[in-house]
Amino acid sequence: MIKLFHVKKVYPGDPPVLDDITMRVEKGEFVWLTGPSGAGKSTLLKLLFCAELPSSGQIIVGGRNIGRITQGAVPYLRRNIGVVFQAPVLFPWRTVLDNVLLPIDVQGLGRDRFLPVAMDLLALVGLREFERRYPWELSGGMQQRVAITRALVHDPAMLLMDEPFGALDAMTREHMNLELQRIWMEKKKTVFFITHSIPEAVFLADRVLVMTPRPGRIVDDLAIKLPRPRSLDLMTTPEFGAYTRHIRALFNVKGGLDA
Amino acid sequence: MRSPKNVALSVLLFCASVGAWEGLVRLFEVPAFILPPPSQVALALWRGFSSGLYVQHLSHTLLETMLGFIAGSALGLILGTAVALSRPVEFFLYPYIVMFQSLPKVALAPLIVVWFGLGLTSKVINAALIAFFPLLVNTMVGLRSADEERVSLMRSLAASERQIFWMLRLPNSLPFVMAGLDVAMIFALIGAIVAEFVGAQKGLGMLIQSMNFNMDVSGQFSILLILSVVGLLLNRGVMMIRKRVLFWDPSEKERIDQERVSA
Repeated sequence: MIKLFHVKKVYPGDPPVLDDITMRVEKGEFVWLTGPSGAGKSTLLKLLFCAELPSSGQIIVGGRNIGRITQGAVPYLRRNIGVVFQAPVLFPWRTVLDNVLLPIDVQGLGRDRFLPVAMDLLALVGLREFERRYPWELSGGMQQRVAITRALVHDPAMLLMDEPFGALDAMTREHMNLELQRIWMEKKKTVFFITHSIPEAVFLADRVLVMTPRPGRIVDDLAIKLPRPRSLDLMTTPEFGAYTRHIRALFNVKGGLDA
Repeated sequence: MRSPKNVALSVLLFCASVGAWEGLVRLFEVPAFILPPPSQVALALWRGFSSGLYVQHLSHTLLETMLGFIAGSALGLILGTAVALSRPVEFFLYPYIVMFQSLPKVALAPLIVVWFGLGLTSKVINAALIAFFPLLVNTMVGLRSADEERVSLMRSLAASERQIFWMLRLPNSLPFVMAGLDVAMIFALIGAIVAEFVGAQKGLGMLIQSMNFNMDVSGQFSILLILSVVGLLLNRGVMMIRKRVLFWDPSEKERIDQERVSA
């Protein structure tokens, strides 16, 4: 689904943000990328939907080399991707339902066809009764669920998530992670999730990629062999502890600050 | 605040101050051409309205104000959009806009009356000219203030620049545009009145001048009263539209909430 070969991203005058990144994400896989702040995680994500272009190297998304993509082909690529950002980024003048249907409106896919899809997805994230409400009437967790629904509505093959639960309180975060697992198990999308929380990455991922900063490099690719569905009790098991300790050690060796 | 007790107190305060004004003017025998007592102002108001004189001039001034408001706002909206969207337009036009903005526009009124005559046209143009700037500036700022995150969301959805404008920048600019309309409404009234001062055959501004000439001070007071009520109503009208359009704007919600609390 996603393949990167020796990808480099350099801004003139600075050390490379991304240095020789080689990685892949298979179809249907739930892959988490973790690393301390400033490791270049967000930059890497931006490369995947062509918000930035790599300085060198190859990026293949869904069989297309997007390192050399023409501007005309970018919209085509993006239709196959749903992105969830750190903030929900909803439009306050649109109702919850209209926010969810934004990709449909933008891509001219026909509201009639996608209205039932949107309603089903809203039910899936537990917002069935809220479709006529406005975003500012909802809590932070509910807003982020609207954002996830919006990312899923046009049925993209791949979901890119840039620390979408970062601004939520610990309880809501745990709850949202469980929700996400449920959605992923039901929809079988390819999910690429960025976080700086090691336990959350270990808790949900099929595979955890570990990144360290200056220069941004992937230093480990760790398969998490824990059974699904995973519940919160998992976090107290010795296996779970072993995984998190291993990743934390990598952060510390490479001088990660907020590990 | 709006308890029955406070409302009664407020009415009482109003009556007391009007009563004091009446009493003091009579006590010290202040001549009516310096400060008329409220009773004479009320009398002038009644005479003006019952003879149809005020209605005729008021409707004329209102017409000038509204036409000026609509023309000025529309022009400000269009030009503001052009400046916000096009770098060349901004580069070539903006210096003049800034220069013109620092000019007190009422100073142009005599010139405009010379150019466009004593009739309706010169008043509408003067009103439009003054109402134009708040709209221009606010539209410009509003269209440019779209949240960077929202823009990049639209881009991630493969939106064209055109879609970003219609679906994001335009609705996003509405709080600014409405604030501009708020100011423009009152500015248009000022523009119309000032142009009438300079030279007109009709309108409340012209009436004030002729009354001033005849030392009819209570008449002038009565018209000032009308103008302040008109200004208030025009402002309320814009606010009502604003409330409907901007139901989603945080500052508007705060205001609504505050009104709810105080009610």
